[in-house]
Amino acid sequence: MEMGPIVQCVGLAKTYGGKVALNQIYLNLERGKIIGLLGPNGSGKTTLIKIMNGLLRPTAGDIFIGGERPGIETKYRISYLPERTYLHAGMKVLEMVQYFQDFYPDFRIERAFDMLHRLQIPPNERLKNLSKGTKEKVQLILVMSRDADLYVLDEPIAGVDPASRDYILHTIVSNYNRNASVLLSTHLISDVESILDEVIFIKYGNIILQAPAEQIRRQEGKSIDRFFREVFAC
Amino acid sequence: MLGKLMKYEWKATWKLLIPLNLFIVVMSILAYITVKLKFFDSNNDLVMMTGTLMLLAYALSMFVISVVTLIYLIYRFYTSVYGEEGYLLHTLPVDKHHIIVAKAVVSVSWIVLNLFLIYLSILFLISTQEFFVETIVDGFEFYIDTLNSYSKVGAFEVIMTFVASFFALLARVLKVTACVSLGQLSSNHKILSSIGFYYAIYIVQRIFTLIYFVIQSLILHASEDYYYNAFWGSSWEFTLLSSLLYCAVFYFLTWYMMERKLNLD
Repeated sequence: MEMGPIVQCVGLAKTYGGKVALNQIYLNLERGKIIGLLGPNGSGKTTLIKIMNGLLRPTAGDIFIGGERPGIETKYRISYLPERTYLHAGMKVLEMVQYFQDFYPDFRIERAFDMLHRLQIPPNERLKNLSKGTKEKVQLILVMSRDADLYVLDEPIAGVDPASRDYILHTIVSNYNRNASVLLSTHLISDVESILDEVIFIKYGNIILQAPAEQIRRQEGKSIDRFFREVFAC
Repeated sequence: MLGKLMKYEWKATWKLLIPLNLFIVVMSILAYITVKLKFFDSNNDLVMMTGTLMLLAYALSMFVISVVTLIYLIYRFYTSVYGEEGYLLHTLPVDKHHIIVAKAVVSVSWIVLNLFLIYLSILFLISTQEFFVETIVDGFEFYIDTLNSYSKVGAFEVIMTFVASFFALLARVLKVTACVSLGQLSSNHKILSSIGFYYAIYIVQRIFTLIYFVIQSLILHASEDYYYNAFWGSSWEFTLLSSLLYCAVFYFLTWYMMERKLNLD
């Protein structure tokens, strides 16, 4: 079993032109936890997630995934769900499943088919014929069918109906192993609060809080959703 | 992983490009029938007009299909590498070199197939007219005789001309990948910026070619092999060497942008 944090940010910064998106953040994410990355729009959540996945280059500082900088090795370890549709619209669901199986050795095809069956998504349907919400479900199924060390889910429930949210959250909780971590970015806090072990608040590119969810509830005497609304009140 | 990337690149592109290339075959057969049956010489106005329109449609379709193929391949590179599909491509555990090689090989293959079919189609059509065939054969023989009167042109030169043409095509494909990649440096006008880089590089290439030929003509003018070099030496040797250089430069630029400067919006 590997030790040490799964993610380590050391003075990580990102600026777009003159605008600061991440302001020299220091952050450690431990293994075996479901962590909520919470913040309003434009707070730097997606920027941080993209840097973890090698889709953006930091302006300064360093980031390590399992002790390594983003690269081929870290892509074997991270299973990433972006906040947008990234699948080739002309492909069938089945072809996407085969695509993931071809490229990721940790992909579990039987798990993917089981989830597709439960959510009644026809494998032979082309992605362009599916609704936006169903496409998001397909993406989540693909991502959660991997045995990764870290699942990075950017707004995984934003586009799906409330009835499916519970199933998706249950899918997340039941499909990661004890040594893996889940980093979940969302603004729908009340929906995910019950599954979070740890919470990170991010504001204007700064980490303003990182603490166990239970500790926040106990210390503040209120739900994380309520506390979030107070901290980020306009 | 290279094989898998190529497999999916084929699968993504053949849905449009196979029908397009089949269309070339269909149009060629129709044009062949039109010419063979001499529709445009008919006394019947309707038949004559149909024949003329058919040949016009044939010529237009050859042009449009080759342009659409090129535009589609550029669009495909842009969307799959720097568009939304890039989120999947760049999170696959694959080497960036493999991504570039897979895209370049598939693109070059489609362009070669496209050009081959169009040339074949034109030859097919010309073969119906004895006069054209005779003129072309005579012209080609005269060309070879003229070259041979100055210096010998053998199979080696002909093969090397094909090799040089292949690398010239590869250099053009990589030039596009490099320009699209460089265009990502702009935060707001990525496509315009890519076009700007394309023309800036084009000008640099033209200046480089001009300098080369000026120097070469100064050096070779007194040489006994002047005409040989002017025809064959200048064409395949310069094309091959410059294309290899361009391939290396454009490949490196594409790789550098993907590996070191990737910033997906």
